[in-house]
Amino acid sequence: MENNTIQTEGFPTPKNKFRIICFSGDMDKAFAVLTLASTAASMGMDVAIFFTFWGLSLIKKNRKLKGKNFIQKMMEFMMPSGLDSLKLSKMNFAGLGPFLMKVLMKKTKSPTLQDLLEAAKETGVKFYACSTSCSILGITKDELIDEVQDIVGAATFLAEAKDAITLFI
Amino acid sequence: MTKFEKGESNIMSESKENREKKEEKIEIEKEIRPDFEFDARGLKCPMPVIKVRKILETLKPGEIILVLADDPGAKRDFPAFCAQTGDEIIKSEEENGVLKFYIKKRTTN
Repeated sequence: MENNTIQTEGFPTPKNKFRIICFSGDMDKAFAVLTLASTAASMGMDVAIFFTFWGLSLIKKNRKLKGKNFIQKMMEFMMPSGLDSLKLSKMNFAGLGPFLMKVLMKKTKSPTLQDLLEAAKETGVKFYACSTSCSILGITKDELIDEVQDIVGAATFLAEAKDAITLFI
Repeated sequence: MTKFEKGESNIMSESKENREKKEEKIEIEKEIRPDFEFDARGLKCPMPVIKVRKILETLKPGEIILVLADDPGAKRDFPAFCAQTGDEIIKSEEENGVLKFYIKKRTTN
């Protein structure tokens, strides 16, 4: 009987700003990042994600070797590029894990990373890339998806994170 | 549905005036006519909330959307969502695992 009543009042209203530092480039963690970001934005919150280091894999559009030095080219080859190529943080089994995960998601009709990214774009989530990790890896803005507003530094993030819920994923 | 029965038993023990008021209220509740219906059954978190948000944006203030959902998270998600956005859940019920939310779009920004 208790299960039949739906609580509709007394829910706290969260803060109005939500910031995520997306540090990891793992498929499973990308789900957490994009789910929370798109949901928060659809709830009317102001949402921004800062992609840094391995997290840059999520917002890579294409592989580009031109303009990179030898080590950067090696990194470019080894790092996943784009949502489709992400690995699992556990049980990756050389790509079998992510494949099986995608099969399961299709079976349970769960949203895919692409769905969530699309939702995030539509709800107005802001994307930023970290300047230092971009320059270490030799990544330029034209290699990143068009929604990335800017390549910014740590101070910009800290200013943006004032009075916000902030997660490091 | 149990909620409804409880309401009825209360009517019996109250004054006529109160009874009329309550009956009127029940009348109004029965008359909720959604302007839009969205079947979110089969969608997994967070898609029901995101899609409803998109539809709400196309509705006029005060218009009502009826949402059907069967994701277990939706039960708490929609009230939490509305608490943040300012939209109002005017009625909610659960039948055979299907949640029904009547959401009225906020009139203020």
